[in-house]
Amino acid sequence: MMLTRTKARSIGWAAILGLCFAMTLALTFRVNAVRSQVRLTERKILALKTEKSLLETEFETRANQQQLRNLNDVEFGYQAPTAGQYLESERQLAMLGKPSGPNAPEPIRVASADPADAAQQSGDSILPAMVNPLTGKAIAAEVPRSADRAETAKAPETRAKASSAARLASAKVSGSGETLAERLGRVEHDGKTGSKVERLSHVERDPVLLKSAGDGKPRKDGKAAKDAKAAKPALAATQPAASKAATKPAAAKALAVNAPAKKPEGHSVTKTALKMAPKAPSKTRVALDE
Amino acid sequence: MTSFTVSTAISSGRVQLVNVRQRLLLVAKARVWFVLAVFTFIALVAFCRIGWIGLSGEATGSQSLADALLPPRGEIVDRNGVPLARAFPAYALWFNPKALGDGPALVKSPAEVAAALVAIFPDEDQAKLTAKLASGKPQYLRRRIMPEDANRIHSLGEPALEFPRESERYYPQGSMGAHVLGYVSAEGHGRLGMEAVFDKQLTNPATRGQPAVLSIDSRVQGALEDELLKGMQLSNSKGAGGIVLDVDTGEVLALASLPSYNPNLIDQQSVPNIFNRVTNQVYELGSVMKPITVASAIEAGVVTDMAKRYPSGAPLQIGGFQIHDSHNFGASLNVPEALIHSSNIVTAQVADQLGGPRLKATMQALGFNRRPDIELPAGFPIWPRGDWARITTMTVSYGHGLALTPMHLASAYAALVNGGVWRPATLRRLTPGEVPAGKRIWQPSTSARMRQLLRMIVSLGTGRKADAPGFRVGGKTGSAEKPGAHGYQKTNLITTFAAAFPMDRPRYVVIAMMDEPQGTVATSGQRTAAWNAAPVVGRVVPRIGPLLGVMPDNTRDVDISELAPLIGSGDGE
Repeated sequence: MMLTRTKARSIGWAAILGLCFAMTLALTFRVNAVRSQVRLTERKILALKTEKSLLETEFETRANQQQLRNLNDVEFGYQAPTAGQYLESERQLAMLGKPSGPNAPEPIRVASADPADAAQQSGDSILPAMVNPLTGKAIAAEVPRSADRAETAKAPETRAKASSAARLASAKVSGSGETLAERLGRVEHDGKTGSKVERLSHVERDPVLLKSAGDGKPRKDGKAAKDAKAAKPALAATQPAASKAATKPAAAKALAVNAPAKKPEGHSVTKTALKMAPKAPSKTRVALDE
Repeated sequence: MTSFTVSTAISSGRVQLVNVRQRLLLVAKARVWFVLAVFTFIALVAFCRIGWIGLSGEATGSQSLADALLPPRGEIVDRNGVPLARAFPAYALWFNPKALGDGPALVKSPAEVAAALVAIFPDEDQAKLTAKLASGKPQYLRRRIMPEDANRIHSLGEPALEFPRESERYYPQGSMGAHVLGYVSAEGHGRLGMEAVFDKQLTNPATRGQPAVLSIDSRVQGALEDELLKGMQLSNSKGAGGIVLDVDTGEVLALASLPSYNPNLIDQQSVPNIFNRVTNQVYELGSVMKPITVASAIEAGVVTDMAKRYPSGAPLQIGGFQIHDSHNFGASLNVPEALIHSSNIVTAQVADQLGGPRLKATMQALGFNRRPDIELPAGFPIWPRGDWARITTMTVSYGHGLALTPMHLASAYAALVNGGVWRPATLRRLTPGEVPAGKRIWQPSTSARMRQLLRMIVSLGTGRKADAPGFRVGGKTGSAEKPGAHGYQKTNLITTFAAAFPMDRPRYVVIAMMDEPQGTVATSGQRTAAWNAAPVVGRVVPRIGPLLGVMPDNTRDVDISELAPLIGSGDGE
């Protein structure tokens, strides 16, 4: 059968029309399918919300004031806190502390991330800059951070070694200007400037770093010992206070930074932190002040 | 498509068919226009549809969701958002005798089914249930049944026992705050309490999606009810009432009247307890009115010297009346001593010097001559009308001859300690901008003096049992004999303790009231306010203080050193 041009065109148009129609139909089905899915989801949300409200009501009923009172009368016997259980200020909190006696166990120090330090590392400090008492300049001015970073990118190993050594040296001489976290020491990783771990007593010392940090002398010199002495009573003072003020959330929160945690926890945190460190030992800097 | 056939016809070039060709051209043109019009129309419709879906598709979806979640009656929540009343789809037990068609309604006999139902609900009456099941009338057998009970009824295998889910009003906290909340009748309208006050708002579809917020703090309410109940049991009282009021805004944080009722279960037993002692009943409140008299006298310049002594050795003879004290406090007392020992004789003399009109004006300004300003239905005070006689002024000065609700007293004490500004009490939570300006009754200096005096009453005087350590409580006891058929009854008292804390910067007024307390071992055989109402305040304040942001502190207090040397020793009422 011969197809004339006209007929071919007609068939072509009809096919296009059919195709369009089929596509419209498919689209409509798709739209309706999605819509019914939405409706289904909506119904599910509704059912869940109703269930949530029911459960909430049930909870409110089971934990209503009279039930809690009965429970307290029988089981717990909690009473309203007395005036002696409240602390007004940090000064009162510090008054609760006692200096550690002879042969007292070493306070356990745990790993922590100090947001203030992290901010300082990344350049935008939230605390006032530390000033070197000898030169009268900010530490940031002595070790230009941008140059430090640029060079770290070029020769990461050598540059980072030098910069952290410089920071340690300056921290050592600054004495009272440094934070508690710094006095306690920390582990720094070359790759990530933000991450650091306060050390536990079993972490090994890095002789290379010690040399560079202390002008060739070991860190256990006079100044360092003074630092350590200053750090110890401060931490010890907060230790008994933590247990006494445990009933007051605000006080507990304030102490959370320095409060000694259980021993196993502290160890495990430090271990994982050390595992994360690069394998090459020369890249891990351990600052010590004991 | 026909237009293309036309074009071939044109190309064939048959000259003799000019007319035909012209006609065909016209037809073709018309068809092209028709097709164009159809396509344009379809395109337009499609665009409109797309636009409509785009514009309104989501809106309709969320609307349906919001509609479905709209409760049949709005929630009532406390000031911290804790739900106190909400709609709850509970199961009801409905007897449908037509469930099995026209035959017998039940598979087993009504007596057997009733016995099985009593096994599930032991409090039901078997004879009544049997009668209901035998009657063949569709009716409720029970409302609010637990889901597990519904399952057990289902396992009985009686199709006539149906358990439709019905939206019921539910109060998760049970009887707590019952007098504030009220309850909802079977028709779904609020009865009493804030359910009645908020009824329109809670049923209006436009507003019921948002919960109605009360000024009540459920934790404070719970603590107040607990301690009042304890105090009531220890003193063997008939009833008790209490209020905690914010002195700066007039918001009521807790309002309790005991014995209470359970709004989830309104039955004959709870009817007498629905009565609210705090707002409905008026009482002669007794000595708690003395600070108000003294404050008015200080304000009017009648009492200018706290050291001035008034004779108190003998009963005061006015006309045919005698004004006594509970016992003799010595030949003379000054004003601080009179308050500490609660001397009627001295207060009456102060009021006498102040004069009836000025005392009356102050009390009118405090709203003692009208119903208390609170949303709940409230009682009308017994107010001496006309010009007050000398004896009326004197008796009113120590709280007799004038009957008020405890709500009046709470608002007046708030004004007494907050610097002298009276504000109406409310059960709605107020935003800072909504707090009424109030009206000044006393100068701040008068209020400061009253704070000292009230604190002294608690630290040295009759209110010592309310002295919660560190909370600087100040207040006044009041023990009034109830009037009976033959004058005042010596043994039936209304004891009240009106307090505020902390006195160095008052934040809350706490009122505790006991109705007919008895002398028991726990109250050392005493029935006055110092032994039953004051200890309640002493226990409530340490519980609610920290919740409301008032921390106990032994290092702070209102300075009473200038008044302390004026105080002798001795005990009062």
